[in-house]
Amino acid sequence: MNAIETRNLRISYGENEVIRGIDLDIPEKICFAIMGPSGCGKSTLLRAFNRLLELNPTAKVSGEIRFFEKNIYEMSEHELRRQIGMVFQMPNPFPHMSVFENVAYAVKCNRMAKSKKDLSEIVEWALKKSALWDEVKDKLKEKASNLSGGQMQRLCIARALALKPKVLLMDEPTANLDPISAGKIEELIHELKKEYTVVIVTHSPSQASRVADYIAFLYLGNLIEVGKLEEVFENPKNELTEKFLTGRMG
Amino acid sequence: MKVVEELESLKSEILEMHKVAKESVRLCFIAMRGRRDVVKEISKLEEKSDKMEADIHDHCARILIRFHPFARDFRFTMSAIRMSSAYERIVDLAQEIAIYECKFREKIFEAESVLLKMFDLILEGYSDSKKLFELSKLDDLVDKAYIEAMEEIESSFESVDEILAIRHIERIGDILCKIGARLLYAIEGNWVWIK
Repeated sequence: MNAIETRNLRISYGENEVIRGIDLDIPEKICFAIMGPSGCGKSTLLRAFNRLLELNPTAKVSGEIRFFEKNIYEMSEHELRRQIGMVFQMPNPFPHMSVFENVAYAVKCNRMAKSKKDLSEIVEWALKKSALWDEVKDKLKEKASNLSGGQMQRLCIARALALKPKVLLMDEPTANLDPISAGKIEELIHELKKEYTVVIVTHSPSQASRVADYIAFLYLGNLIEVGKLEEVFENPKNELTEKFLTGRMG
Repeated sequence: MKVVEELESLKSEILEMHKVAKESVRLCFIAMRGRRDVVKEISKLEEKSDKMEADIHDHCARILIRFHPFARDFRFTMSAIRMSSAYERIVDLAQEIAIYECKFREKIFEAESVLLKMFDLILEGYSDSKKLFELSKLDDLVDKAYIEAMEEIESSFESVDEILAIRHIERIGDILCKIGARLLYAIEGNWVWIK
């Protein structure tokens, strides 16, 4: 089954159309990379999947987006965003909250824990799933702002996982991290895709080749090519994809 | 150096190896006709091809590590590894053929011009990949020469050298087809089984 499907998806900011009639099928439990040069619309596309664009009054969306066959506009925003978690380029933990509270906050807001013990178990589970538990188990009460950049990003992943989503959207999640921290996030993606659908935006073909199973290449708001990683990276069908991958674009 | 320049330099190395392999094949037929003096020349080419193969493998490894090439750049780099090994094998076979004595078996020499034409086709294939599809027809001619020579040898056996020589010649034809297939993959992206 597809986790996300779009049909004739068009997005514009005012008069400027940035996504131009995209049909996309994202199968479940894989890592799907959206790739393309700056300004091609990849982050906009990602934000459409959990209706984050609605926070921008100039954004207009038309066409269909389906989440496990359900039209996302027939779901409540709250329910949709609980099931489609998002991790941004810049790690954004709540700086005034402790490590524990950062993960527990959304769980409490969603009334997902029946007791304090239950809440602790969910937090521990999410921190383990995000490969952070061993590094923070002795400093759960410390402020999240004391963590390193890579740890903060994994804390954000833990925060998203605590709500038990089906899909995790990642917008260039390693752009601000050193290679070791970035490597840990990439290893984590390999683990996560066994249970979740991970949709990652990246401008780096190397990163896409390390983590993704499927690739979509966007250019000026158009979906140029989509396919399995090996097919697209070894023998792209479109000349624009070829130029982007071989660094001969522009 | 940029990736484009690295790949151009790698292509030059492959073309140089192509020249070395073709020259070794040309010389091995001269040696079989009794000119033993060229055997030393082939041995030098064999040493040169060993070194070129190792250098090309190192160069490909450097390109893969430094540039993480994709698409046609990836295909060419991967093909260069296989093609250099194939050329090196051809020079090995030519060196062995050169020590065989078969100057009176004319059937064996029928393959000479065909093999040299196959080398030329591969070279043309870099700018016109359709040419590479002609390789299999030429290889069929090499195979025909092999079969006819073997039939002749069966009825009038002179020495085991003749059997080994024609067997190696037939093998060189096959390897040239494989080089053509590799080049076609690098250029077009499709796997084609030439032969």
